[in-house]
Amino acid sequence: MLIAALAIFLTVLTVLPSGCWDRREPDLLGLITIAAFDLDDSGLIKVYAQLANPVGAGQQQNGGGGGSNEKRTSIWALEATGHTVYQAIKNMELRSTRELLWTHVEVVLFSEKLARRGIRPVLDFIEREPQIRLIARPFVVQGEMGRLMQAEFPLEQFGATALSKQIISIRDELAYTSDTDSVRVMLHHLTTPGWELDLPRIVVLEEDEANGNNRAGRQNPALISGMAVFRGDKLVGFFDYKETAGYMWLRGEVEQHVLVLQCPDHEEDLLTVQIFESRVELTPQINGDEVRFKAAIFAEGRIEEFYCQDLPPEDEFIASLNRRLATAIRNEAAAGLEKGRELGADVFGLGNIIYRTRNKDWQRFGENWIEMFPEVMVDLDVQAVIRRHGLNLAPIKIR
Amino acid sequence: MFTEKIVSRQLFYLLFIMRVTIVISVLPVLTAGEALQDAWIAGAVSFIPSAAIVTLIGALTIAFPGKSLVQYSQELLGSIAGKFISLIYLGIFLFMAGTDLRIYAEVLKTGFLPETPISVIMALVVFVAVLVIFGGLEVLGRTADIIFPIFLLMILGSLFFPLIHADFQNIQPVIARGWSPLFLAIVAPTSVTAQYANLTMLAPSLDEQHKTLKVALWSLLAATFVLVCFAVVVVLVLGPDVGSRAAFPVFKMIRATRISEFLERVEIITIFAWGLGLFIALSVNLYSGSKGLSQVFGLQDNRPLILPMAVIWVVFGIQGYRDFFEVAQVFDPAFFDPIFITALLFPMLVLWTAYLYKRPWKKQPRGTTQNKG
Repeated sequence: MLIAALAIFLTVLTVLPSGCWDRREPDLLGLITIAAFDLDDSGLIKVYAQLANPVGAGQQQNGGGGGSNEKRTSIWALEATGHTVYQAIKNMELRSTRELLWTHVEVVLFSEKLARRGIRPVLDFIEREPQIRLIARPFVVQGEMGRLMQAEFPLEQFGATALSKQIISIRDELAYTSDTDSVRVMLHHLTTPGWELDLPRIVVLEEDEANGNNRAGRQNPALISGMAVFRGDKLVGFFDYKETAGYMWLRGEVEQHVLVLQCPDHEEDLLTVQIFESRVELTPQINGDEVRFKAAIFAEGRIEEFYCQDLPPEDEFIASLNRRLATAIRNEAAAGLEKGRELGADVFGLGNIIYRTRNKDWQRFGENWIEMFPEVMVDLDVQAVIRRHGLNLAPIKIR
Repeated sequence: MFTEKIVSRQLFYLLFIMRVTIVISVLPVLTAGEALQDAWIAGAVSFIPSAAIVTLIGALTIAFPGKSLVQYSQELLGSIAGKFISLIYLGIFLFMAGTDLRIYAEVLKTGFLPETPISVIMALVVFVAVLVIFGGLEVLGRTADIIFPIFLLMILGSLFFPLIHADFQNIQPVIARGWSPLFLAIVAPTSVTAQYANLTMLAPSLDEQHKTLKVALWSLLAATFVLVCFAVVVVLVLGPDVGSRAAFPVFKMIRATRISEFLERVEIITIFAWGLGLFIALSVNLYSGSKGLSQVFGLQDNRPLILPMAVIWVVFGIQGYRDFFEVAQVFDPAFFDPIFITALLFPMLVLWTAYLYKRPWKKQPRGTTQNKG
């Protein structure tokens, strides 16, 4: 009798899965892929969400959608405001036919306005609420957030995929944007002593700007270039692309990069060098209250273009090319340092190096580091080597 | 009467899984106390006091082959006092099981099943433990045989997947603030050694009982190694501050892991390992609790006690803690842990004193000399 009862109980149990209170039917869910945080004019928190639109996405895949002339897009953007982030995202439900699911957020955007006031409230929401993951990619958006959220991207179905792919390919090819690639890294920078936060910057292009002269298809409204620099959780300014490259040299994060140099023999002609390897060694030199850093940057590159008249494979000429490359790198690094000093933000983590390796000294002046940082001298020592010259040795000689 | 036997290997698995489960749930070396990036040192050092406690418990069980705590405490102290001392340990089993259960239920409720009543989650987990204990200790031992490789594989996965995000600079500076922040962090894992109180009930069923202490210490060493690894990896991946503020640091770390563009969201392996580990921990505690209680009351079999005890556990898991804030205080090294360690050590010291007083001249096991007087 008991065994029969148990058997029935267990059978019933399989029909009633243990998660039944929290079951979610896929067709009742709206999957959010981009979450964006802004401030409205009255100072309330404004949250934007971009959802993957299954109706539009299916229609695109079927090549126009079975007779319907009405074009549906593969994304849907909506927005809501609230006193807190969570209140705002719940207010969003008022206008959505589906329950909003934030677990698949791939990209997190902060508007410039919100970032200047401080991003701490958003971070607390992300860390505490279990839906958005720390693997999401953070950006600071300069320009109209609403336009970016509603934009359709060429080549990609969803905005989140587009922005992710865009920054991945930029990071592979150029050192023109920040290396902070996840909310996890962002939280770590915000809590690590002597290290200010930086985030990649998205500039939202205006309609005309984006279209340019090219009318073929819709245009990419997002330009990812440069980085947003914070002091604490507040945005204090931006690095342009060159200053960002300088930052990347000093962080040792340059994977590939492009530099244009003038020819040694004929300064009007140019040559292009692709960097494919780099590293940096930052050594603090502390003498009493005076702090200096020695930054030894090493880079290897290859010639991608050579407009000069001649390329003699002589040591002296190659050395002169190497010196020019080193100077170009030093200029970028110096520009980055200068902007960092101007903004008073140690994004390079110089203070962190002292905190980690010279902790006794850090205990002495760590509290005043923000004031000290702009005065810290950095001696740049750049070693650059051009290793290869491509498929040609001598450039073309035209009759 | 048929006697159930497990072998040393199975005992090792049981103890290892139980201790590692606590590590992957709350990682007390990092979350309790102020050790931050030095948590791994605290974890390594915690082996010493933990091993001392295990030795204290294990050596006495070896001295009374074939007898459980309930039996030898009555032999040493007489019926009434012996039973009283046993009840303290039975209380510890109840407390540990209820707390483990509540922590696991809380993480499921916080992270995955916010609407499911916590009593349902708890009851289902306990139900599985009840089934295995009805099967008996041998079934539990063989279950551990099956679970251990899966458990180990998932632990290794939880450890290695996040390594691609490791930043080795996070571990610096090492012991920059001196040793004092480490002491509190050492207390928490030491108090978790209370799990080894189960030795007093498991040892009589061990095939080669003289190996009890050795097996226990090896499992402690292996689990400490895992603890140190996790303390290091969490700090490398999340950073000391983000890690120490997390309610469940390992869970947070694995959720923050993107192995590649197409392989992410791998936390299932951690939760799975945790679920398996909790099942083992609950089963062992349920076995020890029911076995102990049946011996206190002189029952032939512990099975009639299992179901009622299981119900009491779920109730304790729910009613024992007002909210999760209170659960988190279990690992508060300044207040709760010392009380807990006292509850663990007091009966042992009483028993050791009685033991040495009664026959200090023969069969004196290792590690007893320091208890003289």
